Amino acid sequence: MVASSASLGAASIVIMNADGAGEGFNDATPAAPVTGNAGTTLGQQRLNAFSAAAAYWANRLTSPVQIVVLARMDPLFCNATSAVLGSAGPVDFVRDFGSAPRPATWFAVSLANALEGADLAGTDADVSAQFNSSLNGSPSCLGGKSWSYVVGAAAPAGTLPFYETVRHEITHGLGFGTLVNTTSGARALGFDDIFMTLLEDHSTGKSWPQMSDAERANSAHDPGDLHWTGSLAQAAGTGLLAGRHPSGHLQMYSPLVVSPGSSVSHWDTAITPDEMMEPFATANPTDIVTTGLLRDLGWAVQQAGGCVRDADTACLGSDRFEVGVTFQTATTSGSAQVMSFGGQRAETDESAFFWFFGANNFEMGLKLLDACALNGKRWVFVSGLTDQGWTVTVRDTQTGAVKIYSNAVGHLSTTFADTVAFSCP
Amino acid sequence: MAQLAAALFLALLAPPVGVTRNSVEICSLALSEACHLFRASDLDPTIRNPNNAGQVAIVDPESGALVAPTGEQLDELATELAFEEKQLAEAAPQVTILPDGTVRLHFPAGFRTQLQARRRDPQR
Repeated sequence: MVASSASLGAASIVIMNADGAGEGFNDATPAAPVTGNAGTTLGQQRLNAFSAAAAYWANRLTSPVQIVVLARMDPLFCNATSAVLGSAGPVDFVRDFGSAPRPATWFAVSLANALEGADLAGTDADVSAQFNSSLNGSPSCLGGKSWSYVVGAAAPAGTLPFYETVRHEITHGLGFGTLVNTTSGARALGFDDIFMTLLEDHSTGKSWPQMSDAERANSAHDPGDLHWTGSLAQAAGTGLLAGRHPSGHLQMYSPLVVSPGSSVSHWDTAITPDEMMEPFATANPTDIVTTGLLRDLGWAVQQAGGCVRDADTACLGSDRFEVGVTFQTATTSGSAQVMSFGGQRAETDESAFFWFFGANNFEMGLKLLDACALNGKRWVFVSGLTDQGWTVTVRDTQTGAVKIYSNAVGHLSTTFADTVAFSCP
Repeated sequence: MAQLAAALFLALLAPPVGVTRNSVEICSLALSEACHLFRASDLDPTIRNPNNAGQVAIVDPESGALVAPTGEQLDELATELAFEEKQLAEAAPQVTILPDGTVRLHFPAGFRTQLQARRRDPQR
């Protein structure tokens, strides 16, 4: 029996290390551990950083089918002035599978597997990835540049961040990109791919499926006017500081001179803060809209956390943040309860109201806002209409981080704003 | 060759359908050792260490102390190197039709996006 694509709420990524003994990911050269990477050989450090990049998506997407990534590190082209850093992409695309949400449309096979709940790739891997093992500090290779295998912190200045590079390339392998030939505008074997169906050129008002090949080719070099129209990425991008059209559409990379591979299949460099799927390496790229784009393509994402609602527990931020309140008086204490108005819990994705002594008597409340695009933090505001004591505990079920806010007995509640409460994403 | 080895290996793996937890599994095609299974949350730096994710640490060359980077340091890489991604034009994909009518477009080496870097000023 095939599992339903209605998601089991998890993802498993299998990294098939295709390197031979003693080379690439199996290179036994001793290496000193670096930040976030305890590997003691070059090969271990490479594999640790690669698996950390894979884990990023294993923790966010859902698929009942394992996602198999064939991974290699080989000596690729490199001279003193230029180098191939690596490459990745889907091994297969499929169309017209049983649960395809759009007919006659290509889907990257890992996404199709997730939707179908079955492995359509057979014995093929889903994603193929290869990176250059020659970037090791040799002056003859890119002037002595080398990979940094740091994980969870910025790579040292002047080095190439392996983790960020792998994460970017794997994301292409999950379907972030179009099959359309951006020079000719031709579709793959004459069929749409799901990525291009959500592209629109604002100067003509046409979506890419509505265009002729020539119109698509023109749209691929129409700076500022090539837009992503998927609703979920748009919703995630409301707080972007730049790169968002007044219509809500998000700008895609479409420079005047088409660069096949870079053009169209990336966010525009105008997107601010810098996003992980922009075409060029930036320091500390974010994922404000990239997960939203994958959702627009059809990927299901995991419920952000394990918060479970009950009478005295509210769940905010896509059920990622668990909120509980206790109260104290001079003589007693207890758990506050989530209020109800007209039979509906007084709780939204961002706010919750609580009562202490009577279900109709509002005592205090809080809101938790996603300000990731503003200062890279989630904000918590707490206030009350009481001089009884209270203690609010907000727990990030994804990271385990906890914030506690309290009001002393006999003190009339004031509004408290914590604009650095929780880190993003 | 690696593709063939991967295919043989995948055929031996446990049924790939029925994922119930977030995981990353590392398998080697060349080394005769078991696959290693990890909880994804133990590997993902944005979960493992959310407060430090993306944090930048630079050693002050004079004092040897960790300091916040300057904007110049952050931009150094982009100043030194120009990055470009290209679509690899490889052998024509193979089209097969599966028994249920699904059409599969197979790229033997993957429909790969290749990241390249070039030094902006090789004299530096």
